Amino acid sequence: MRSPEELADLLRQGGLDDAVDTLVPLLRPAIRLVATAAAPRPMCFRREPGGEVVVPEALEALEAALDALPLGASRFGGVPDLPPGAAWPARDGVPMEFVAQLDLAEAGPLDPERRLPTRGSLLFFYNSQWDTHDMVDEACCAVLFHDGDNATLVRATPPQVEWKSEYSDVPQVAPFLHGMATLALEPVLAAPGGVSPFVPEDIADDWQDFQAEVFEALAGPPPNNTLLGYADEQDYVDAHENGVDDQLLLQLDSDDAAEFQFGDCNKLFFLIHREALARRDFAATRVYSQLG
Amino acid sequence: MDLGEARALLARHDTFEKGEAVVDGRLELLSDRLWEALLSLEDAAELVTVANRLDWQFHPRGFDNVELYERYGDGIVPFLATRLDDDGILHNVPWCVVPCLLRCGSVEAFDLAWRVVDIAGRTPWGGCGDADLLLSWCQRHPEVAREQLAHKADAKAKALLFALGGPIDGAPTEDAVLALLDACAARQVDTRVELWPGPEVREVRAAAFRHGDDWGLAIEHVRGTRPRGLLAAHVVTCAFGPRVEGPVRGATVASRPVQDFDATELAARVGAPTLALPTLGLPRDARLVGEAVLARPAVPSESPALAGLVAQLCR
Repeated sequence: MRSPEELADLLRQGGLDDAVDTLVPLLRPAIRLVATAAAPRPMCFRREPGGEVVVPEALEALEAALDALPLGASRFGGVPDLPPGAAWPARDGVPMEFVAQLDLAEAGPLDPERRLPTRGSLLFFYNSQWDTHDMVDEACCAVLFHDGDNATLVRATPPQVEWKSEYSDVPQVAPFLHGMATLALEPVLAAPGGVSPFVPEDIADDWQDFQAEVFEALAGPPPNNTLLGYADEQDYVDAHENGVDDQLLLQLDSDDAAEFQFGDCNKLFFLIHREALARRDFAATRVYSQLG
Repeated sequence: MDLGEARALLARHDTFEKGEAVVDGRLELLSDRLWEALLSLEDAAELVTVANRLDWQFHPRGFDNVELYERYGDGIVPFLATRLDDDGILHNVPWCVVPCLLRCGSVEAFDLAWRVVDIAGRTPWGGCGDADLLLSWCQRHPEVAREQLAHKADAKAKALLFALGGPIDGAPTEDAVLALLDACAARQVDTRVELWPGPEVREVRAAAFRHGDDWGLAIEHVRGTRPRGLLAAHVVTCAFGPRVEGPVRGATVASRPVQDFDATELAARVGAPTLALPTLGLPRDARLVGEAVLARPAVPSESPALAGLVAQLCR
């Protein structure tokens, strides 16, 4: 969505004239992340008995694609450029999956509300080995903030730890490495998801129907990868546990460019309390893979 | 259902099957009726007699159904025991067998769980999931488990006792260290990480360190065939000791790049034993008390070479 007028027109066309004054001010600046494939994923999703997990040609392609990118460049997948001294995040000894890194010198200035730092980088990891549809147990994600020059980042060599999945008798190798995609960043305006704490109750039902009907006009064509803004799916699980004090930090779609496949074509939603965001406490980030 | 009706219904059937039953003109599942009858018998002894006679071809409702236990208590164990075959496979048919066994807290239930090698017919929910049945049982009934395990002197019992909270701090003892290793090798620890080299690993290098009362033991092998690159061969370190921070108390697994890919000897490929010190949580001046390259032991306490190294560690 490019302008408030665009939403106002859509609302009027949908017969929601009375809601224009309430809903249009809810539009928030966001940054759309448009991914372009750079390398396929270098390993099989699951190791079979006696099988090799690495795909040699894909691994070579990934290594070449990584070599072509400077440290800290915004991208999905591959291996992270870690802050100096930082370990690859793990949960219960199992290394998490690296999904994205964002160059804040590029992303920060695109947000007129200045919610992000304007230097350094943010790295996103998540834990596909445990359920992420709710947050009833321990952390399912890690977000690392590098507050320094990109030149000091360290391109990581992934650990390789064997672990037993509940879905396979063959030990799997963690972390799973995703394909890699370069990113173009575009400032946009975002509207709340169909079920969202940001929408007043008296128009919630109308908004839910309307949002589902004109989803693509509001959110843009899929895949919908977004920094800031709102979670664009319907929050049936109270993922916004702090209500309107929660801020979507990053939304990642199951995007073919990086061969992302989260659940069954789901998205990942990284949420953070806005106060934690303001004090740069990215360790407080939570992740959800489904909102409904 | 009253007792007479239950007995009459069950007397007419030799098979517990889904089927159909007409009750007051309504069509119901026969299995629901039979189940209700089974829950309406006089006592556990009668239930065992009837349940043992039935050919179980279907299940009660609910993966985590523990109604038999709630109705009859541990008296159902003799019936549950009939689901165990001569190979130690517990057939979870009906699928309330495992959930009920986990609820039963008697010595008889422990004895049954002890004999189970594996489960056929695990369910997506209920029971112990894909975890070890015996460990799950012991975690639910730790007092009975500790008492019974103490009577058994073998490695499996010692490993389980360790998993239930054996000592790890203080000066090491051979029993405690080997119990920790056995527990990890037998996956009797509550983690999904592989804390012992898998059966495909032929050779490991073991290195033992002391630093005062603190100690550390690293079991290392090389994994992978690529000499360089993003996914180059690496050293896998299974680390044990009181200073080890990991998914379970006193044990973790980590990896690092291979020191010399082209070397022919494992020790040279893995590199100096001191490279494991950070994973062991020990300082650089920790004392190497011994190292050995040995064939991967499936049961650590049964390896003379490893037991010898542990004895050195504990001296």
